Amino acid sequence: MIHLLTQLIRQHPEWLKTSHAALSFMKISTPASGAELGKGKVLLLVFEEGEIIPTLCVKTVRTYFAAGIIRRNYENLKLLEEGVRGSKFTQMFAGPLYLYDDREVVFSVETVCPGVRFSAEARGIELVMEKYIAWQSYLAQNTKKFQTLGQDIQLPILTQHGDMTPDNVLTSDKSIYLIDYDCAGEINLPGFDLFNFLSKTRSRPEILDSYYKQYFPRYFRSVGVHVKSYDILFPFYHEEESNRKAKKS
Amino acid sequence: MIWLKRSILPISYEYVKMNLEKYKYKKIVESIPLFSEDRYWGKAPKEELEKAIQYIEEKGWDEFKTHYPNKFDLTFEENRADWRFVVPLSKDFSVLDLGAGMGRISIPLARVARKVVALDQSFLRMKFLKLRAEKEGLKNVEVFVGDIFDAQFPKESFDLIVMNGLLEWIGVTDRFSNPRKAQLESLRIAKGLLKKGGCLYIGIENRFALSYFRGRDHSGLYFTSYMPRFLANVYSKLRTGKRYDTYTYTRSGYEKLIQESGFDDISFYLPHPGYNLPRIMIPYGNLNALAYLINSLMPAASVKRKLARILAHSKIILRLYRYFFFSFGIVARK
Repeated sequence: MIHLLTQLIRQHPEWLKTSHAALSFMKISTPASGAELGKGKVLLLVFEEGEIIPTLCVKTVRTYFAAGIIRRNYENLKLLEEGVRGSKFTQMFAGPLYLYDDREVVFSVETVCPGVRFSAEARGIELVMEKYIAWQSYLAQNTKKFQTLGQDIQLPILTQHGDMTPDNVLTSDKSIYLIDYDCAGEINLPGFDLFNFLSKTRSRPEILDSYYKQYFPRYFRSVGVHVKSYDILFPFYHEEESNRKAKKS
Repeated sequence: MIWLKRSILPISYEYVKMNLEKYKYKKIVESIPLFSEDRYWGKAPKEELEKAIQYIEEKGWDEFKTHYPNKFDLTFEENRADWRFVVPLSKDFSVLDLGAGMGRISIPLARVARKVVALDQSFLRMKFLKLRAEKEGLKNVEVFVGDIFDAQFPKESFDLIVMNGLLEWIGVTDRFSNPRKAQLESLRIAKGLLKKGGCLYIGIENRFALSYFRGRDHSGLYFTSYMPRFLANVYSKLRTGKRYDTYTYTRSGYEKLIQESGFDDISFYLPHPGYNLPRIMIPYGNLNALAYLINSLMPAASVKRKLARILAHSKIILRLYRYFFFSFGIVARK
């Protein structure tokens, strides 16, 4: 597919910082990707000569029958982008540029989020929480839809990233970037991302508990929800997580 | 009409004769053409593989996968040929996989190419690969027994030729006085078999890989790849009674060798963690890409990783790291 990709990039010089720059490609995938047939994505990072970060991120799969992964990822990214269009939060995500699909080869082209992989230090967690909560607060201000959990818990419908593990968060000095959009928008349960992120920071139980106490009330206040105790939401998060695991397997 | 042993379908004499003429096989055994005599190789004894093949035939493929999950140098992972994402590869490609073994490259490529021709010195391994392809519903895999010097494929008939973990072993032959000559000749043959514009992909160790400080290299001895060739040869003869013939090279050594064989468009990649499992393919010539990988994509949880991030700010350190990297992925275009 690399010849198709190169042709496509040359047809879209506006995607590059320097329109005729020499390009090089770095292929990356996670250890789990490709462990089985049709499982996982393959990423190609496109570097322009002399640039220290890649300009484009291309996502594809090993066989076409898994093309749905790429289409879904791309559509989910567009959904995230639509939710924040025109706001300062657009920079939290990659920019969707193109979906190529000729029924034999499929790949998507996105801009690259410029941060580095999240490091679980207190300062890093505070930055992620601050920026993430600000995004959710922005979405809450623009939604009029609500959902009812259990018998009497009223919550706004808020788009969640859906797989906000520390591995899917990049940070820079003052910004955060969320990557990997396989599950974005599939879950609208406020607080799910927060739970997912904090519980996977590999913190000791007492530290994790202090994070919950610190960030859940702050989050819910910012999205305009008043819950007596956030603990009552945990069973819903656990249920969501186990549903997703079952779906994946 | 003749019935080939253990084959399901009768194969006409004319069909066999036609192919014999086309490819100049020496003989066909169990519907597998042999260019030369069978030479078994592998981590497991031959008898174990024979038993495994019998197991597949008697109990089926699914049972085999459960019963033999990590036996032999076999894998069911689909990511072993992931280097293909930096090589031009189309659905209409005809691929030759040299030293195909048990199919870790041939099988994933067969899912995306028109045809994969697998060649290996071991009849049993080719029998396994043929069986595996059939069981996985891949009708575009052809297997042959022989080495690159015996094989008689039509000139300019392949779009992509793969030598993954093979070139270092090519010198283990008594046909040539010098292992390098054997390697050079094999590359010339590969070039002749490639169509114009076709690519040769080589996955191979770096002669100065740091990991050789910790373990034996291909000769089965310590430090021979670091030694000057004549010294490695003397040492090998003293220790094993055999000449040193598993030559690996540095990046510039490979470049020179491949250029001598007639290729002039050559690019290098650094496969991580190694050429047999290329999760990451870093373009060799782009130090920024290597720095970006270490700084931005690798987790910085451990002290080692944190130190790596600091060191990655130095171009000199990056160059040194690259020089001692474990292996290379090499793409040579005809």
